[in-house]
Amino acid sequence: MAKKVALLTTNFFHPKSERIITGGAERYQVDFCRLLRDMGFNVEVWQMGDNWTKEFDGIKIHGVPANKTEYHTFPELNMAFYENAMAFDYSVYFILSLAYPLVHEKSIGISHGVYWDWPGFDTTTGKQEIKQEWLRRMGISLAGPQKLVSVDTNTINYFNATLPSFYNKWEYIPNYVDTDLFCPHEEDLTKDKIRILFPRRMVPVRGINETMRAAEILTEKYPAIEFHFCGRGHDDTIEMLMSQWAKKQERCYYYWKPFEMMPEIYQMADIVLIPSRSTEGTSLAALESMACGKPVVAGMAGGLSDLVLDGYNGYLIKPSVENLVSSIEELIKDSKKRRLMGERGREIAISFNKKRWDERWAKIIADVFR
Amino acid sequence: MDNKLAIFIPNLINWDGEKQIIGGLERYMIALAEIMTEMGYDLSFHQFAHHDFSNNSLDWPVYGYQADSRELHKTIGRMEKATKGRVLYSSIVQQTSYRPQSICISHGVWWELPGSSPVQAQKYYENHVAKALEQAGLIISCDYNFLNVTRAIYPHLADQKIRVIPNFADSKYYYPRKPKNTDHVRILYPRRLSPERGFGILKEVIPPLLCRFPQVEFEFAIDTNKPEYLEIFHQWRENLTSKERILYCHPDYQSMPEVYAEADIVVIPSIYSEGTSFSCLEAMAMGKAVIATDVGGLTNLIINGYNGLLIHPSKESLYQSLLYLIENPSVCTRFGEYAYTTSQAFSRRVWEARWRQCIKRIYPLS
Repeated sequence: MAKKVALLTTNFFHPKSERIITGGAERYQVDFCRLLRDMGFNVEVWQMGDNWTKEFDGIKIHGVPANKTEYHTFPELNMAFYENAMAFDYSVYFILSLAYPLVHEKSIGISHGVYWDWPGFDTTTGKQEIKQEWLRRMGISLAGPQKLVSVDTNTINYFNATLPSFYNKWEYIPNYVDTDLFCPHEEDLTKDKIRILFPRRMVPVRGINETMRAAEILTEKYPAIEFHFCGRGHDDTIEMLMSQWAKKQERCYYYWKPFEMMPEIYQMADIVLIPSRSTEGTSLAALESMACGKPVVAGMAGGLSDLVLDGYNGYLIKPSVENLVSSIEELIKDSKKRRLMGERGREIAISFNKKRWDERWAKIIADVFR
Repeated sequence: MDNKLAIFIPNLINWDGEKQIIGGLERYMIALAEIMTEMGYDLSFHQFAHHDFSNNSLDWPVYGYQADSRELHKTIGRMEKATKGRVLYSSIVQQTSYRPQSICISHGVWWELPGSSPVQAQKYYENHVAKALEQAGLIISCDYNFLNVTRAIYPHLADQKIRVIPNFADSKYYYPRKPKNTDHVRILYPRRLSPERGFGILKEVIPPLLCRFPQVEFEFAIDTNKPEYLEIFHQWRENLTSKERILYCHPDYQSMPEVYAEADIVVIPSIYSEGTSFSCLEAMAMGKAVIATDVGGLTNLIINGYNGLLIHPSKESLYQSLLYLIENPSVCTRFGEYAYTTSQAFSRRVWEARWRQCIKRIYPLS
């Protein structure tokens, strides 16, 4: 009989509203469940929700009424999952903090990158004691699972520098890209225009505000350039404000596209911006731009330094307006450099091929789930 | 303001004040002192010692201050009293207080000793990192990892104070040489024998590899700073059956390119405490296939499967990765080529230009 894997996450579906926004972690989850299924496991998912069961991509997802968070952990949800999924052979804690306080015997915890490295995390946790309590609980989260998998080296190095006892549990499996789907276009699609793409969610931590200001400065200075902002906001108001702003600007455009359209969006660009201030893993958007042969201007945050070598396949910058403007200008002025950096990005992306991700994960899964 | 500037350093020469120390930090500071001298600063080095000394054998005076390794803070206190005006702190590990208009250098996260406790770790980042963030004018980090780890601990301070200037490979000396004409496969370990550099795991994987592959040989390019490490090395080597295929040498800085040139694979198996290692960068610049660990700044140099292998520092993964490269010479060639091209992004010229900017800003000359 097929062995059963239970996966715990927080919000694959929004617990109440119907507004579904697929981000990187959600795509990861779908691909991960497919991999488990291909390996012969039966998979079901648990998350916060009002006692419902839904289905996505052939996988059952159960909503558990346990919405309380304490110190950025979810003990209520964790315990509900512990009891509900007792009949399953193996467990996956899709977010590390979900492994607090108790885990099933054979389990794996996943980190999608550091998300506590922005000033707001300290402000929302408030006092230093609260952050200490969060860190203590993370220590328990790391102690439970047999294997800890991180999408970037930054998370591993952070935890080794703060909770050093789990050194040998960590495994680095970077994010992936389908390099057949995301590939360079044969022709130069923009001709005498230079198109600059910001393919992220419209949130401050991704550097949206700095990028908008840089767009104002650069479109005024260079008549040949266009700025494209492609991605959702957290709510309707943000998306409306973005549209209004873009309409007022010369050659600035705001829209979002379904995933199937994204290869083409990247192919149409000449320069891609991933100017995150923090909370980054090995960003799928960065990998996809690289796979499409584009130079990337990235923030020096989280896992981006696992993908971009400064001055080689793009730039790693502190994403201030000034730094954005000067690094984009470097690329605007030099089409040879854009092409060379793009080619190198493509070469690097090939080592992050989806097939390798499948192989690495299959090895870990076979090691732990037996 | 005058042009005098004191540099604090753990040890540029040994504690007896006689012999130059061979190491990354020391080379870094010599390269930096060269450009600062050219910019017009009058430099002096201040370091720990067995007894007070002053030494003029280098281009700058080096002053030793008697120190007890259990009470280094007392010696730092004496250095602080003895030096007036401007100070540059060559290592964030050395002290816990800083003059306001000063630069302090981080050579990578250093305290993540496996098996140490959260409380011990916290002492390090609170005593050293937090103090430097609060007091120093600027922290230069040699890798992105230190910045990112610091941001994750102190989200509101890290970006204000830290600037990343990755280490360099000097292309004047380090560049690919003609391929050698042997069918031997030489694996080079160009590091100290100290525990954090992973000699402990490397020595476990060597005997089975030598036994399995008669064409494989290992070379240790090691310093003689610590006689006790050398003794352990020789004891281990003497007891091996194929010890004639374990070579060793004690090169000075100038002869390192030749040592790399003879190698096919270079291993950097660090367990902890890594920045953007010179050894790693230079092996890359020489066009060698590098196996490095996913520790500290090594992650900012090697992209796994592109320009080398980036592994978890364990016996198992080190053995498997060496096996893979020994059996796949064409992969070695490809990694070496990409290692060379990526190393070009870490040029000495860029490093110097970035440093000059920072020095001008923090220590303006009238």
